[in-house]
Amino acid sequence: MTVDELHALVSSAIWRAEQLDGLDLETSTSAWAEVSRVEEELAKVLSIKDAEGRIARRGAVRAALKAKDYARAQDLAQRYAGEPGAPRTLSAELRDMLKADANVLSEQFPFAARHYKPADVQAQANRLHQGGPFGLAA
Amino acid sequence: MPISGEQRSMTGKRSLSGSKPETPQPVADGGGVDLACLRDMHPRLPPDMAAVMVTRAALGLQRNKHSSGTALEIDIEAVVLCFILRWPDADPSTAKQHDFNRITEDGAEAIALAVAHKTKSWRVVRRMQREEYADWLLEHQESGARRLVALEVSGVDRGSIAARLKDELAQVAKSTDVDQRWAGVVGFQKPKAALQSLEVRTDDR
Repeated sequence: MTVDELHALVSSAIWRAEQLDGLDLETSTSAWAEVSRVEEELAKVLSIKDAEGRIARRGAVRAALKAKDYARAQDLAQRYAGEPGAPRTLSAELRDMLKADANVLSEQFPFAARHYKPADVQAQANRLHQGGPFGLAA
Repeated sequence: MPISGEQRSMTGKRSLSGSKPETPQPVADGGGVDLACLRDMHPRLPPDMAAVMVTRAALGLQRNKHSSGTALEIDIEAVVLCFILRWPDADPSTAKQHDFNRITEDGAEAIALAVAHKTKSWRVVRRMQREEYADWLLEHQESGARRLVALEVSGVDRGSIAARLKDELAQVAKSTDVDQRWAGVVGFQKPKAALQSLEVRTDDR
């Protein structure tokens, strides 16, 4: 797939997700998951040194968070921040995105936030996501 | 500014604060802006998306009692132009299938993108997520080099567009990783479009 085709796809995906967001439909999470996938594909073909490459990387992480896929967002952020030539500003932006999302989580669940750090909850969610309920028992 | 010579009537200088154009000067005759050609202007715009945007622009204009072939006043960095704006008619009975605000916003984007191409030769690269502080990433060639432009667009169904333009400029100012940052606002009551870069503030004019 060419970069132009991916750009057209990501435009379409973002637009659809925004329309669903505007209607407060639950399906917007899966639409944002699709955005994250297309942004990730763009990030694979665009260098981190290019502006569009950095936009795609930020987009992949941000859309994963909007899709409530914290594990994926963390994985992508870690991967992109560790890429050779990754600007410090990009790493900071990605870190800030995760932090902002954790803060929102704390605000949504203030009682739980008094007892658990968002990072711990997200790590637990990751384990559940990866191993399923039986993974926790193992 | 690479105006293509297709704008129909007048150019002049004025301020966005509402004062009238100072001695508008006639420019070359031509066809104006045709929203039916939006995809020819921006080939990376997905066809289904472009079609909905154009339909919404048509509905926004038609609900304000305009018909295809109306005058569109364009203000680009203090230069005022007047184009003839054409669009494929939309069936007003379908308006209920669209959210009122989406008609204004998506319609404004269709018009702003058409104007940006017509007057600046910009082409869409991609849509951006809201948190990038711009709706569109566009490109153009400047002295042989490719330049990226962040464009934030908004629409106003009724009333002045000047205040909204300030808000949009403040928004796009936060956009990073681009060469230029521009805001565009389209008004539907009396069809108007303003495009302004961050470097020129309305207060300065």
